Amino acid sequence: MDILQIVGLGLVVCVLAIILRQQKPPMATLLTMTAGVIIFFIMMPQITGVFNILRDLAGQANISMVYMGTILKIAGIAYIADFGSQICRDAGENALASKIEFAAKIIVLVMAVPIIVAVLQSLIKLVP
Amino acid sequence: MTGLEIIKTLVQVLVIIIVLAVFLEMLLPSSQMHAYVKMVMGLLVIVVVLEAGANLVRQDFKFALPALNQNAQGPSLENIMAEGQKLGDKQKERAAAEYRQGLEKQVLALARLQNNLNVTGVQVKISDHAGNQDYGRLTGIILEISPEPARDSSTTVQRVKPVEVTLEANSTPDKTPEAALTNSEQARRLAQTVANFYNIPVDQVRVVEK
Repeated sequence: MDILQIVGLGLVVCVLAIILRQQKPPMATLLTMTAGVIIFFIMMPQITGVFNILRDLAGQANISMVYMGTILKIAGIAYIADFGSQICRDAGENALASKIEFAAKIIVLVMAVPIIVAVLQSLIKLVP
Repeated sequence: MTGLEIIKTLVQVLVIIIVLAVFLEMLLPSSQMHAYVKMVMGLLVIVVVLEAGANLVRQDFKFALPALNQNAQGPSLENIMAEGQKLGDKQKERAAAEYRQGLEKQVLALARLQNNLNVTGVQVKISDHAGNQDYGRLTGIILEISPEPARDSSTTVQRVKPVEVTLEANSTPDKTPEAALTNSEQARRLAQTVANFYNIPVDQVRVVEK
């Protein structure tokens, strides 16, 4: 069971990080980061499976793969930004975490521009 | 497609879109980013519903999406055109070389049908200037013949020359002016044949002895 391994890894890393944070705080941050990356890689095959199902569903609904690709990229950006900002917050760098989130928001908005334009064009065409 | 079938398809598509949207929402991280991603997803659902509904009114709502190429650092159009031109020239050169080789083999095969002469090689000249109107046209053929008679590959033992017994000691029966004349006449005939076959003037076909 993956969930048992992940929870076990999380608890062990949590205890180690608490102990390390007293002695060497940078090492505790590094340990947390490593555990996060490991959990992410364990989950990678499952994420791929879910994305394939979403792609099939989108194909059935005749949704353009351009839109679908954009949405999946945006979800990925949100996850990566969340991951980075959480690490920064754990390390006590709240300002840096805010900057990461700001950058992610801008990137998401830029990627959403084609969809926004498509919606606007549709609405303009609907108006007689 | 009847009206009922169109509505049925539309309902199916809408159900799939709603399931997809709920599924995608579950995937999203529970952070500040949630609202932004949800907004984009909402826009996507609007676009898809409009596209699906457009079939009802038989209108095409599929638009050309604007490309976000502000950060793209690809090669410039001039570079692409120059590379394409270079590639095209190279292909033309290769095609001309293969055409020349093919022609040389053809001419050699044709010339060897004339059993009297031992044709050892052929050089073909074609107009290979790419911009020229006559690009690829045959401009000259050089046939190389050998004075030695052609060796028959089926016989391994060299044929014995006929022995002539003459009374005069200084006579040379092999190299008579008549033989040379015959040879020249055969060469002229060969050149004429090749020129006729390829529809070029006979003065563009030269027969040289090697």
